[in-house]
Amino acid sequence: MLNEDRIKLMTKMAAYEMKQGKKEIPISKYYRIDYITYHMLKTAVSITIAFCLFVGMWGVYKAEYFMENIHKINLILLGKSFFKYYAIFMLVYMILAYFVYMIKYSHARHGVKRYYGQLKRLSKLYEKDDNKNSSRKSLGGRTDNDHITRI
Amino acid sequence: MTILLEFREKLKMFYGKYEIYIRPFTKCIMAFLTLSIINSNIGFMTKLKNPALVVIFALASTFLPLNATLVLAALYMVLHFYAVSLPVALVALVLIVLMFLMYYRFSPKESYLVLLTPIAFILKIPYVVPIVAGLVGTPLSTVPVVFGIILYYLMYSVKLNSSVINNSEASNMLQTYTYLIDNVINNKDMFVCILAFSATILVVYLIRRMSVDHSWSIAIILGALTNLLIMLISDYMFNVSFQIIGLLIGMIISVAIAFFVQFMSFNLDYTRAEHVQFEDDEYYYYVKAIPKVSITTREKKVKRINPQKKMTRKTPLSMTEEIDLENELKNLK
Repeated sequence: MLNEDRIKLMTKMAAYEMKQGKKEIPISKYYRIDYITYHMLKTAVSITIAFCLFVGMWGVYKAEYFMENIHKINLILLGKSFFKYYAIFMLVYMILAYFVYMIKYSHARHGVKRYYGQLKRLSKLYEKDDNKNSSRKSLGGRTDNDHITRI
Repeated sequence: MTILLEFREKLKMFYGKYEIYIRPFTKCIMAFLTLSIINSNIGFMTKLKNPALVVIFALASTFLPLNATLVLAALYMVLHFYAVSLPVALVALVLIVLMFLMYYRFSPKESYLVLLTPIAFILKIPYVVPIVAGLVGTPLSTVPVVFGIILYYLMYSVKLNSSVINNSEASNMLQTYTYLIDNVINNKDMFVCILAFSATILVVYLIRRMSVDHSWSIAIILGALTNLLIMLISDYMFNVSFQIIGLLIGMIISVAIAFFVQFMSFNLDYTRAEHVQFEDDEYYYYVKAIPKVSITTREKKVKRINPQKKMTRKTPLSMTEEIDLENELKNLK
């Protein structure tokens, strides 16, 4: 039998599943620390690539200078200064990533919590329906039967 | 004001009803505009300038996600640059990849700003971008705006120096590259824009979030002033050549657009029609849910016969009482 309340609830839930839920439900399956760490690692990799690109661009830009002065340059010092910039860049991005993903996670949790609430309500609606039906269809026996022996 | 509000409600209803057609249509128009603007400004590769191609891509973008349009536009730009010279295309490509690595992962939703910024620059109203970004976005949208500015100035300097860049031979690629980077790095305009726009986004965002009456309007005006002030101060300090009149006119138009955006989006969710499918044990459901909209019609004016009466708060009940009183007075006469 069609139940209007149930259909309304299911429509809302289906809309959520189709849109935000697609991203939020998988996120909520992680523990918070796991989710944040995983994405911070991913960010670290992409930031490393980005830094390499920066260095590459700078290197090509200064190519002529390097060609002429390569024997004079203290490579260790150069490497150290690169590393310093890399560390600063990374640190800034890690802090940023931590906050961004923490906020994302809490948003997702919030949405999924509401979704679970709706699920619970839906199952209650089903239970109510079942009870109604089963009381009509019951073939005998009383409801105060012993719950272990069913007699 | 009531007419405007009614118009907004009607628009909202219209959008709710025909959302399924409007969204692809807007996407199509946006893609068409973007590609045409790119073609007309840096159309170095004649094959890509074919209008049929633009139309095909615009039609294709109706059913592609917005980010696919973004990739398409980026590809277009890089190909045009490639027709000028390889280093230029490489620089643009590296910039786009950097954008992807450094920003896109965080919030892909706002990456359309990368496209919108150069377009706004070409339309001479760049100041609208930081204000609107601050109004509807987050401080993170500074990043795509900055990338958009850099892309625009890259386009600009390639357009200005295309003859120089074009004439240099393949062996001189390194020189072309150095020349281009020099051109972009030494462009003070660009840095001033980056500084002013970032500051504006932050100011607008912070003020908009305050719990003050009219915070959105205050945010728009103060944001525009911040932008103007930074531009003027840097104009004075670094001898950057902004055209003051153009700046002012652009700013006024931008503020007007920002107010329009505020009016259309303030405290409003354009709840959209939902098309969903699901099933339970007994049925399959194909549901189309249309948001309910109530149009506020203009309030009826009640002419008072006894003007000395104290102003009281109008409730529906008191208004009906008033009307009744008037009728009774008429009857008595």
